[in-house]
Amino acid sequence: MDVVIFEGLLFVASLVIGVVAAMAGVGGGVVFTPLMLAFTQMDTTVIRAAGLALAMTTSAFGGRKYFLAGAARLNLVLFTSLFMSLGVVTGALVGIHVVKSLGKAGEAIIRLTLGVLLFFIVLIMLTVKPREVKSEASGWSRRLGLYGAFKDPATGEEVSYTAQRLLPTAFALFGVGLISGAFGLGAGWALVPVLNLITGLPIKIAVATSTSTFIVADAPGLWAYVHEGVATPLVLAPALVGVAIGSNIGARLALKAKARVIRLVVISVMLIAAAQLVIRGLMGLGLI
Amino acid sequence: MIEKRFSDAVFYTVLLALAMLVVDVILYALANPQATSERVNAIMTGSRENISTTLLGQIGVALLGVASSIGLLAALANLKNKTAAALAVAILIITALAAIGVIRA
Repeated sequence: MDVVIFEGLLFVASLVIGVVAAMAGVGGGVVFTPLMLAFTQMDTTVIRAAGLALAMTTSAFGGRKYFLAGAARLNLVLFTSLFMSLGVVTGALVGIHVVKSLGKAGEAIIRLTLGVLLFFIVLIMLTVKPREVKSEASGWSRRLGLYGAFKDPATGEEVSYTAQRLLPTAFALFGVGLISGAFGLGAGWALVPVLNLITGLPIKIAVATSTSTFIVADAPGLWAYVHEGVATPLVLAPALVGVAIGSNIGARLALKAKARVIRLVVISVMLIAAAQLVIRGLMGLGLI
Repeated sequence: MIEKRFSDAVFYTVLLALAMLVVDVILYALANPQATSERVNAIMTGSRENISTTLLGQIGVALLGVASSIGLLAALANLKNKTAAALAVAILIITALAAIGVIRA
């Protein structure tokens, strides 16, 4: 294929994914990785490396807004990132090892597992509702500085928060990281519910912390892919720039668009990708 | 403000990384159109052999990988909470181990 066409197509596809994902309130990676794995012949490791880099780039841009607005605090991001990064690096190593040792069957297993996981992600997106929380300071959250107050610009009210249940949170963060690293997803769909429902952070703080975390937590996982020689600029340049511009446009359009319609479109696309991934996974394993 | 130092350092490092990746692809495609075409075809057909471009691109990818570490180092000097500083150091160590290839598949 011609280089200009390949780079142009990847850029436009990533731009559209960035716009639609931001309008639907999800990260670009959770749409990019499944679509690329489902509908292209590209190596799964190359796509997963790009997915992880993509989550990091959107986090660097999106997280900056939250940091400057005071919604994200570095102490919380550090706590989240430490346990998540352990999971990310473990997941990346497992994901790479599966493909390395099993070859085509390993690629089929990755596709099949992600397809099943995608159905689960859609279920979470449809069913999990944010919870309003009243939190009290505990010893460790005080010691780690995992508390704060945020003046919500929408309501003008000051929201106080303290991270709670740190041990279950740490285990959950490791699990989220494992999925993120293995499949090259940002995993905000899992991190936000963990931070809201387990850690007890208000939903806006959970979203801000989640968005700001990926640039830190996913870095060790990206390095695992870099050492495999699969993080290629030919894929990363158009994909990262496309999603970065697209998510910026999407965030602005989100204020005017009908969020419910966009969200349904994204969920439909994810369901189609999930079905395709399951079919390709089963075919790759010779089961259908 | 510590958050601003961190996010500024990360943001501009990532921006630089993206610029390097784009310049790498453009320069490489202009200088080696045949080789670039072969690499694109290799990527499209699911190959993962010999698909990287030049040193500039590799530095771009590496910058993306160390962007958060640069941010943490920029923030570390002003991080007053010692436990939080310990978390930052732990993250820096994990990233460094992954970057130098101690943690690899």
